Amino acid sequence: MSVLEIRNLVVQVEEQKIFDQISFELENKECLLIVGSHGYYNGILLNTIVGFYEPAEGAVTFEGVDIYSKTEEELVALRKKVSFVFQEGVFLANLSVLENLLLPVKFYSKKFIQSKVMKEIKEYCDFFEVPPVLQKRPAFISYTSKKLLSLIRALITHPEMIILNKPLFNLDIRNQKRVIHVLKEMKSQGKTLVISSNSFDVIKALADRVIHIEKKDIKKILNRQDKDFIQQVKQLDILSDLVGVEDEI
Amino acid sequence: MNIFESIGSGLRTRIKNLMEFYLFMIQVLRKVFSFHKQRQIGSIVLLRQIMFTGYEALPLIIFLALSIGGLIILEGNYILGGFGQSQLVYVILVTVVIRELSSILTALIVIARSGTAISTELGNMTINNEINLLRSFGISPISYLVVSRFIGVVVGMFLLTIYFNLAAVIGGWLFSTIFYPINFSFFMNQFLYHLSFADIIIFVIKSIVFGMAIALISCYQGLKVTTATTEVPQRTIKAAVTSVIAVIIGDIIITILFYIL
Repeated sequence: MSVLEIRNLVVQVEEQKIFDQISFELENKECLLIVGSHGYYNGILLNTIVGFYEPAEGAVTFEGVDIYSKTEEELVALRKKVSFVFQEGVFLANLSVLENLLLPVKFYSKKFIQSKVMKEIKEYCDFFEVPPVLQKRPAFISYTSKKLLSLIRALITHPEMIILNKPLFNLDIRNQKRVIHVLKEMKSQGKTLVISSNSFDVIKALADRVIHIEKKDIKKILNRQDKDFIQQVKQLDILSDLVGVEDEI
Repeated sequence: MNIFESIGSGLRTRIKNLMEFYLFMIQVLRKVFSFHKQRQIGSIVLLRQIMFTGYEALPLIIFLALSIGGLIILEGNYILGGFGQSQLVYVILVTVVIRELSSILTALIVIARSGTAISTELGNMTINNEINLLRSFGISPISYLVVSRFIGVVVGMFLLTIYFNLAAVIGGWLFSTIFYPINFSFFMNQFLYHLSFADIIIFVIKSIVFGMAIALISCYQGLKVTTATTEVPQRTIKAAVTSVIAVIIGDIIITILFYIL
């Protein structure tokens, strides 16, 4: 059963057509990778899927519900199931990092038990080796910590689907491996993943389907079941960790 | 574009903006009644707003009220004393300070401190994607950010107007003692004798209406920021100017209605 359906999507930004009639579906428990040479298009597509950009035409449906035909209140139940992780790790500036992490959990839980959530946060912080910054304001923490903590914030809400925009961008190799490990674990637990990333490692480890987006259109769709999936992926000339400079030298 | 087209287009934009603000106001007022559902996350924002608007402005309000109350008594005593009508200073204190100046001056301070702070903060939050972050959680920015600030400013404005009135009366007594030694309880008895229930009702209504107007206008302008940081000061100025105009028009309407009814 398809959990996410993009139907004949037309997206316009300041009267400029960004996408023209694109359609694709995502099955439950599947991992979809969105790749493209310009993060701009991927970002707009993700923002449209999440509900930030209203499309000029077409529909975005989650479990059969067109998100743009519903009010914010009607979408709360759906939002509990779907977590979105911003590329730059967005935090509310006037709350501490810990208050930021607890905000969605508090909002979603009828009976909020802080000790249980704190245990989870601590486990993830230990795993990612995040410095002790929970009591600090977001302005005082590093880009890497923000990125990892925003992933932790999504994980502790236990979503059924997670949408990530460039989850490895600007992370060191050790943290990249950790993020991939956590996402693999989510996938093995039967969660649905939508990731915008040009990383070959992410595709190799997680992708069931790869959608290559270029201006206005979907250029290519690759499925893991396809013959020579990895070879075909390697042929995409947009992957960030297959530069191949040494080979040429 | 000829002059008629230009006037027509300007008028259309103004009507559209007014409609937008009206819908925003309805949405906020509707959500005020369901605020308790989000108190687990919204109460901290509400408390901070009450502290900022209603408590941290206290020294400035007290200083202003003591001076205004005192100066009115000083000038009143000087002018009315010449006609042997010194007792009329209490009428002036009630009419000018309690009915008019307390809510207007408090509103101006709330606009300068809280109104500008709110529109700047919300504008920056929009630019930094924080509004989208809340939406991605399913948390309504109106419920979480606007309603808590709305209640906070209304409560803060109401409390500040009470402090203003108390301080103005005390200031009036302090300055009276310059002319002749006057017992505080005698001064208060005279003041309370001239103070009617209607005077209290009118300042309560004004403080609540002004608080609502300032909060709504400031939040609306803050959330109108779209992408550029340069929009933030522009929207903040617009919020302050519109709030001042709304408060003065509101004051005139309430006063006229009071005399008519």
